[in-house]
Amino acid sequence: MISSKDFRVVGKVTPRVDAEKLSRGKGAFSDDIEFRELLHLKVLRSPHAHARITSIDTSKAKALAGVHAVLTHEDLPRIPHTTAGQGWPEPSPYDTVILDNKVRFVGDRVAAVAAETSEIAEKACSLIEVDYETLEALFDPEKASKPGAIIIHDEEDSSGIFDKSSNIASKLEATYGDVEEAFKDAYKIFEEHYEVGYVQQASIEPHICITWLDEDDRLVIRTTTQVPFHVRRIVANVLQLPVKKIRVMKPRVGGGFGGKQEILNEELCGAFTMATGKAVRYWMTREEELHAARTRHPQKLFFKTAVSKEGKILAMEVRVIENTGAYGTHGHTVMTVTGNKIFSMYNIPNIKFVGEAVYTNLPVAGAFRGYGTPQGIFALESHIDEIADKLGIDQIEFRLNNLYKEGDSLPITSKMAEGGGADAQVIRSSGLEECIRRGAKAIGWGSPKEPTAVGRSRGIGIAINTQGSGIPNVDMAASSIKMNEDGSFNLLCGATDIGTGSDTALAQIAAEALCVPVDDILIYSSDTDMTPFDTGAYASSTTYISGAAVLVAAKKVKSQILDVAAEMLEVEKEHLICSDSKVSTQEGKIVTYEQICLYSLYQRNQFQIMAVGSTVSSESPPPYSVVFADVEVDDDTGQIRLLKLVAAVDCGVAVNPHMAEGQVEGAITQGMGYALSEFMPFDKNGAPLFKTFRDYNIFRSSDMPEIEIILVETYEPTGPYGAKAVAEVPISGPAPAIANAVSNAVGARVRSLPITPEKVWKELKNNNN
Amino acid sequence: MKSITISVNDKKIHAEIPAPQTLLDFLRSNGIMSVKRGCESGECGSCAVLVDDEPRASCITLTLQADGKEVKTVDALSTRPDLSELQKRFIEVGAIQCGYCTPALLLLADHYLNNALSPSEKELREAISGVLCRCTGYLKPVEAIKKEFKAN
Amino acid sequence: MGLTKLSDYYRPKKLTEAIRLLKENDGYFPIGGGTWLIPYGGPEVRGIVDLSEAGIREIRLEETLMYIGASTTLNDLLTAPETSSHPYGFIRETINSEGSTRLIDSVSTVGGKIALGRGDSSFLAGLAAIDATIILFGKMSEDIKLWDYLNDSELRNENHIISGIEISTPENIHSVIFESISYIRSSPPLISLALYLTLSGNLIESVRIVFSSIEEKLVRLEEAETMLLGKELNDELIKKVSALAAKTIEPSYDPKGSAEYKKAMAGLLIERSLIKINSNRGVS
Repeated sequence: MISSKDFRVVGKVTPRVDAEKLSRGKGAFSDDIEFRELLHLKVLRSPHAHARITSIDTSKAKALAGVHAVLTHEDLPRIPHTTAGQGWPEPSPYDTVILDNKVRFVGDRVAAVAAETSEIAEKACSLIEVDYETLEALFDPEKASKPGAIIIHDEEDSSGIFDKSSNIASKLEATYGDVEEAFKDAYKIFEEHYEVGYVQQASIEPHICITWLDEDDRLVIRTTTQVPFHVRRIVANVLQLPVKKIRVMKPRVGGGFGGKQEILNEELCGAFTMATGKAVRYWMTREEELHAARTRHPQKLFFKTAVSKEGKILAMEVRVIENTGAYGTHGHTVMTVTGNKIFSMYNIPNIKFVGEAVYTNLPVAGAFRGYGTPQGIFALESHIDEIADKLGIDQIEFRLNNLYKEGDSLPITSKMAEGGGADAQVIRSSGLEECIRRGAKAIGWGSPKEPTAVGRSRGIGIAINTQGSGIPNVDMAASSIKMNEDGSFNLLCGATDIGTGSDTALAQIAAEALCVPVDDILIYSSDTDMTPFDTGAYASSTTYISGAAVLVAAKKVKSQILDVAAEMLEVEKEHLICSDSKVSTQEGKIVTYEQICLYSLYQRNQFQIMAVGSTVSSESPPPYSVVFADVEVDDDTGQIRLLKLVAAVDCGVAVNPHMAEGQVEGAITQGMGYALSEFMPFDKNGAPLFKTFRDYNIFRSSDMPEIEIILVETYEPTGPYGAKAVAEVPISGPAPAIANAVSNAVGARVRSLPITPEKVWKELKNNNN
Repeated sequence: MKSITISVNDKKIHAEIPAPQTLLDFLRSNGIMSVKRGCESGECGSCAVLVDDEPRASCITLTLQADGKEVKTVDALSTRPDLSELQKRFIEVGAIQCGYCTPALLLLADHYLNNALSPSEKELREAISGVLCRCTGYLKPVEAIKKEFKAN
Repeated sequence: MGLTKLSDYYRPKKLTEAIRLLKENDGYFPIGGGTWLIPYGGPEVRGIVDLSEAGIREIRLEETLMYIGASTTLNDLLTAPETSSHPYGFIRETINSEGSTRLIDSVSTVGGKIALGRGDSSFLAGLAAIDATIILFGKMSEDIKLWDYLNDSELRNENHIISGIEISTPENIHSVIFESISYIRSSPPLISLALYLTLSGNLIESVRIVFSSIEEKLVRLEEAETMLLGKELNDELIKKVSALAAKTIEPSYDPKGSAEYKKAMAGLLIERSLIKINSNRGVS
């Protein structure tokens, strides 16, 4: 079998191509450029969860010295669109306009001001006089979809909403087998529900956007985005500009996690540049981030599961109510992934999935690493654990009894997929069982450890899950490779490195294929004027899809190199061998890449050695993650302390093992936050209560438990050099693994996130009564 | 406007600045882009600097508070073309992901290494706990810094 | 918001100069590190008097006292040899439970914490439990107990400078107990208890029970203290006091923990602390 051992660069520790400049703190990010004249944008945001703007008076704001423009819904055309940075046509409803005469959550845009300083812009915002007709606000998706509820999207021009009148943005159903029949014959049926709330991506770099007109009067957008090409397309539509009039540049991005897969500010910033002709900068404050950027979709998940006497799962019915917030961005597709991943783990012959994404007057949910999987897996893996418990079967044994195995096909993937029409995914590579085995050993499964103090109990929990590698038949990537005179290559990628290290991984793939050191690959990503198209950094697609595009381009370039070498050496192309930046004959005659390029550019039959590679995949091979948690719980207060977490991950061949580990480490840390500390509460009027990182607690270095990462290598035959995705899959495991460990420790089953001391305490009290 | 003189990475800067200006804004407007804006309330720490060798969040420090003092940022850790040993360790173990918090982590780690009599992982984790990183889970940064204190 | 009206800044070398500036100018505010005033202050701030160089950054151990200058940072306290072990080790515990960060702690000062007087400060709860004395500069009555100061809003609004605090050395290592509950280590506590208790023979000679993260201000359980004074600790008394605590406190709204939970935990933490003290009796 092929493995990473067969490669020279792929699978080897390789320093990041961008590490040096980042370690020096060079000005590589969106905000790190200076302008002689720059306007600062501030947004006036709604204090009401649901209201109509009956009048808006900007005269005082406009009169303030230093103010260059004030825009409200009266100034801009209504172009319904989605802010979701997805492929065209986007599978999210067109329910948003740049500025509306209605506000739908506390923090929704009302108006905006561009001024010479941000202080002036902020002052001007406070001078805008707005009259609101407040409307009843809906915060509970179950109530919002009941007949008679006020309609959040009552505008006439929105489209793609499943049922406006009942606030249902999207509805989804999938089934195979016969669930009803299976329930009749079951040995036991288990019913339970689980709930997960709002959390945020919270990249440390906020959303920053700077727009200006270049010397050709084209709108340049320099922005913190995961999706530069979608930004260009959607902004063009919203601002009614031809695509050719817009250039989107993605400099370094300080983390995205899905939060930057959104057209969150670019259209507004652009509108001000179009209105003033000036450069405009918009920087979201942390409070704005916490209130008005995107979040993970809250969901309530209802499970009904039938098992046989032998411990086989016969049928599973899952109903999901998803809160998409005030707008439907990503609502449908996130729910699709929830269902898709719930039913991609266990070989269950009869399933039914029903999901509804419902509007509420709360912040807008969007894309967040895992994209529906963490919600579904928290519920599924808690539920599986409860069933194993009640059947008295070991948690691992019960899982192994029911797992999909290598060679199986996943019927759910043909029933529920973005873009539709996919064939059932066949599992061509799976290290899942080995992940379980090695993870279990690392955590000490079956040999419980003593608590560290009296009055506490210790427990271990497991959770397993999968994800995809790109969206089949939807995600598309391209890259170009051009040879230079010294034997180096410019690799231009539409793929968007947002801190993930994809620039390095893609350079490695090119270097491997072109037989050169990584140093000789000069990668650039991404700029809509310069780089080929790519759908963007999401859905764990970059290594698998964009990597494949790089490989295609590199192979074409290599073929051209061999053509030239054959001409130079007067040998048949087929008899030539590439290695170490040179081409040699079997007799040992050699031409270097440098000579080849010089020849091709200056000597005979001159041409530029260069090629474009483009890919789309009909498959989305599943990577796997297995997480084990070792926790200690205070028997009386319910306080939880995480002692150790083991994550064993199968991502195929890890193109860059350090970076793959880094992805796992970061993902499980976010997963631990989802489990234990992150949430977003609101007051009774729907106003968010958390404003800072003191409130919204993400893990600090002092919070980290002992961590062990295990990469289990498999070879994915459809991936570039055997690679599958890695970025998202590890995030889903920690929450259910910790919930299961808490239950194992003290018998308290917490079915909602985060797992707080109080929730544990309540369960303990219930158990005692 | 107020007149100030601040030594930034051993270079004296005289300037007229508005009294409410934060040290973060001052540094960035003077081309020091390694100090990053992440929260403006001191909690994310990506704007960390040393003022007279004490760590501070520059976003909640007035430029005036640093008047007459020495400010150090990650830019002072090494001179081109060389990197400091700690920077090399970060690269070697893969401790840099998006790189937004990296300058702050490096600066605080360097400060810790320079001041700790007998460095320990626990103390180190405390020393850098003021810097939030959403990418790495702190594992590789801590590994890099630990290698450096074992090396010395 | 923001310090839009700030125009003046002074960093006096002497407290006399600082107090003069504060008294002569409306809208002047003293800062230690400024970690609160700079991000959260508003247009009321016209001038800032920075006390960082006014000669009050020191930690001094005297015979039965510890003196801490007001400009001492929380990080100074965390790293000072004086707080590395009993009897002052509780200071580090309380600072580590502030829900602050080390970067902020390296700037925020003891004086600043007292001036803010927040009810979610474990550090203040610890100081109040051990009955720290505040030394005021620029007032007639120069020394006042921290607890009294925190509750004297009139005094707090007057122009003065907190120059330092004094802590009497706790009698034995078991007399100060600090307990707290949080989501994760670095997050602000849901509830913290600082309890100080000394015995004379078998009888409770003095006791102070201070909770943080219950209300806007720190909460002291004086009724429970009275119940304990002069008595011998036993299981029954402990149960009674803990029940009283659960009954008395009235937590304000906190999205991270309900009033019901906090009440139960208040009782539980007191019970735990007293049991700990009881089981350690005779050991010093």
